[in-house]
Amino acid sequence: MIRWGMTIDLKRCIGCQSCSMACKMKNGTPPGIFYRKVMEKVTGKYPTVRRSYIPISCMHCSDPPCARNCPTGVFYKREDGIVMYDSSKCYGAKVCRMACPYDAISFIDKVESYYPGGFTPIEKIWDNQSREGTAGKCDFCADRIAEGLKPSCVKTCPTDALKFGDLNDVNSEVSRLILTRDGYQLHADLGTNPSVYYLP
Amino acid sequence: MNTQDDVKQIKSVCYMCQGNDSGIIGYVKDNVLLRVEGDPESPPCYGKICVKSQSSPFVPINPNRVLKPMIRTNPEKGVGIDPKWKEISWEEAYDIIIPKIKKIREENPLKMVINTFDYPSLHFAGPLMLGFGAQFYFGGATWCGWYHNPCYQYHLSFFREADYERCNYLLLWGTQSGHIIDALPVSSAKKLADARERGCKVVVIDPICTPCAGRADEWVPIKPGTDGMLGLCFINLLINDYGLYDKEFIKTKTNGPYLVGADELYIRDQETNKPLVWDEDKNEAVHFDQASGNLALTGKFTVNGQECHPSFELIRNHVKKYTVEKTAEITTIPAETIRRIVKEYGEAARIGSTIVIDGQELPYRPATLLTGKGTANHRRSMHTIFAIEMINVLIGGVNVPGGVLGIGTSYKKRWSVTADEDGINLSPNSTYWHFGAFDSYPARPVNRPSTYNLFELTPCNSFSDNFFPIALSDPRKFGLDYDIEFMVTSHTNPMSGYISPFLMGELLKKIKFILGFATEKNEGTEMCDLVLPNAHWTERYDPMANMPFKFQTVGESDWYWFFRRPLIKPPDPSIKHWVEIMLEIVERAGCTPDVLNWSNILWSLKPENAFDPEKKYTFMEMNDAYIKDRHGIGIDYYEKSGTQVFREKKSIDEAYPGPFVPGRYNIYMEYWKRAGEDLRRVIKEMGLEKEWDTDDYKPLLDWEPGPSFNPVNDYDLHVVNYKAACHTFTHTMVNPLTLEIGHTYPWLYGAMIHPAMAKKKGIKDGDPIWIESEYGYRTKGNASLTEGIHPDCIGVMGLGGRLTHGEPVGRGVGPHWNSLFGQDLSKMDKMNSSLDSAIRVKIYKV
Repeated sequence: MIRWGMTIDLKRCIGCQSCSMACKMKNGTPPGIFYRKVMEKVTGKYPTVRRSYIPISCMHCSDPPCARNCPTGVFYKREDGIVMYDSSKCYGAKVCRMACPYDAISFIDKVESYYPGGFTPIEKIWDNQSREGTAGKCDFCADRIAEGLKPSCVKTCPTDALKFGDLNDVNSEVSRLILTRDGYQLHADLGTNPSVYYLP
Repeated sequence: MNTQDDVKQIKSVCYMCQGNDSGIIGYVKDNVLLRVEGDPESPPCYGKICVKSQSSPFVPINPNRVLKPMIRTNPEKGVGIDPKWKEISWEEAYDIIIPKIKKIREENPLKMVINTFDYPSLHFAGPLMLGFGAQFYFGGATWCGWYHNPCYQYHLSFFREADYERCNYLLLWGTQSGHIIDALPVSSAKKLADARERGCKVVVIDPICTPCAGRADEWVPIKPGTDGMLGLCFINLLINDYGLYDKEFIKTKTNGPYLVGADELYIRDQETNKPLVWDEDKNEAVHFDQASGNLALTGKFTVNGQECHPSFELIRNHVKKYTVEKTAEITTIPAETIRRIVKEYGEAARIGSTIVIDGQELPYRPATLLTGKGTANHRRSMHTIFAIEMINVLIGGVNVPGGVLGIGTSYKKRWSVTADEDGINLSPNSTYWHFGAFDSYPARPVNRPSTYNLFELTPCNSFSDNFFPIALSDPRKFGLDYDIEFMVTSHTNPMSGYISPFLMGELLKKIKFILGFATEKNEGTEMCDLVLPNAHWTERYDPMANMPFKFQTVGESDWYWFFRRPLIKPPDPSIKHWVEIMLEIVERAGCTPDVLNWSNILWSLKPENAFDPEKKYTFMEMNDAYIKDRHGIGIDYYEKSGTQVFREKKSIDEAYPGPFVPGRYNIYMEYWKRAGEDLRRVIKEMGLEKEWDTDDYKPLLDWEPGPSFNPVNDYDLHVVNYKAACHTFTHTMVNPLTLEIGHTYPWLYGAMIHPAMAKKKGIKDGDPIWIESEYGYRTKGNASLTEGIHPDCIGVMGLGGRLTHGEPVGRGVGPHWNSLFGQDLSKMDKMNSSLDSAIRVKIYKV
């Protein structure tokens, strides 16, 4: 059985945010909502200073706290490891946001337009007003995967910092990278067993 | 990928920045561009696109688009003043424009100026300009243009790129190349990431710890305005301390062996006038092109009764005064750091090594120094930028594997490098460049200026457009006996992108009539008298999207020629590509034969593809002829296949032209000396000796402190700017998506300041502050405390602080860099019109 997963090469990431924007355009998220974010960390003292970039999105945990805690069963784990969600079941309890240790779940409150004065034709197609009061997050672009494509963020990453593949296949590129580069999971101690690995 | 039947997929080329770097697929439903993705089949990015490109669908649907011709009804002009636009018909617009152009054509066509930065249309700029008889103002050149001067000479092209595939040591000096910034923003990012993975060391010299510097192996902060000092010290250490320079290359591929007399000029053969060199095998002076390989680089000789030295000897001795100790004090970089970096770079170059590629043995110099606009905007810009670029030449690292490569230097089908009578390489620029930018070698004869960019007074320079506002403020001073009466402006924002908009606004008011092409209402549009709507790039054809002078990856890639096609229809059917409208204006003004004649000349069209000046051609027909003439294919090639790219195999001598160029590179600037003498004559005739210093026209490079090296009264800090991946050009500051992403960087729209300096000034993180420059202009921002900035500097993003009322999105986000600058000839490099950016500011709480 496949278990989809992602590796993020922190040596290759330059913090350009192409992945964040690809995600936004793919998922049509309203202002203020990013299913994928790139966090910046500045360390050191002048003149020895470094910038690090850490992309964050849903970790597609094996034991997802969101699914465990949601009172209305919005979140569910597929057999291929993707944590999906069903907005129609969401009543806005926001427990998922408190439960997720990765701050990877967004809650769509009042939807504003990007330009003052009303929604643009794209936003009308996105129809985010119908998602008001519900949670949303990365689903590994499940529709793209179904077509044999990679998630939008992986496809566009200019430096090829992102890889996507089957964690259960020891010969897959992601498995090999995790092994050879000492890939690690965020907050591994929490026992959620994320499917996203960071390559230091 | 959306597979719905009603979603069309259209291949095109991104134009969110000047790079034109990414082949894209647009997904379109009911004339709405849903999103763009990279086209995996298209070089050079093969499916990768950047953050700006992803956001592009939100630009054409901007509700503030200009949809109809608009005429201003408020005669008062200025920053923030509402033009009170009134919509008029296209016929009414033409009725206003055409009589004005006809009158100017009869009186003096130079009263008209075309101002644009629209790269994919620049092949039309020359024919339009010369067809009207107008002059050209290269919009957007305030801070960007000057490193092209050494590029023309050392990389024999307008742009350059690192050979990332083979480089092992990359010194990025005042540029963020490889970080979604610079000439090939996306394709270079992957190449640099690959290079780093295989162990390429990256060192960044910059006053600010940019994302590029923060990811590098080493960030070396430098005091602004001192790069020239470091460059000359670098040369001194390479030659005199470490002996890490390519002697054979200097002997055979530079003018280093040319003999120079006491007058600082070449010793020439009295009969042939050819420069002489000292042949150590023959033990005599011979023509540079008749010598054995064994030429003297040092020593004292007597030729033609004159005592003389090889020019390299003069360089070697001259740079000794740029000691590492003094340089450390000036630049604030520790002496041991300077020494180590110079040594690392010189050793990484593997001088003398070769590599076999496709069966050919080529020089191999896997050390690269890339510089850009960060180092070039100084009072002594030309000396600084040549000193830095010359470092690549000293190691023999120009146009060879591992080194710095010119973009499109040699496309043998149409152009290649030649050499002049002095044996110096001539860039093939003039055969593919179609507007007012010229090679920086050889020097042009000096004449009194005829146009407002005073180009005639910069004989060793590519373009001099920063002099345009100087001349506009007082044209008679420069002997210009006419006023600019008509300006056409497109794809540039002279109010936001040049100098203080308050000053620029006063200057632009002197132009009687400004015709603007606009997609949205920006600060520049607000100064126009008449605005015509312009198609967004997602709505237009650009059949020659990546003009060949740039936007071609270097090294062993294929040639790729891009074709931009519309993804969507414009919001109003009358909206067209501005060049199409200009061709209509040309026709109505009776200028078509002149424009076609100039197209034939500037595009070097073969007779079978040339235009008949008595006929009328459409925009697409003209492009079709040009593409056929250049590449042997027409627009049909793209339209029938649906592709956006035509590829051709690149040969090794096109990929690495260095070993194959016929001439030598200038490292001793003898022609500056000669040009200076010519210039001084004209400057004296014009009575400009006090304002127009000519001291920099000397053959050996120097650095001196700029006018603001020390604090100016209580203006105690320097101000420096930076770029970010999500912003290129002012239009990205009115795009709500790029702005939203920009806000995720906590420092991007702030005023960067070191905590120690902030404490000294009593400023806390987030405090609103004024930044006031020595020019007396000021801009506002919120203090952003960071360890990643030179403590003597304030950091400001180059594009922030929009002022326009026509675009509510982005207004007032961050400080506005250009608002800090006035114009002052004493702070400009007269060799190239560079304005010194190393000015002083003071800061105080709002």
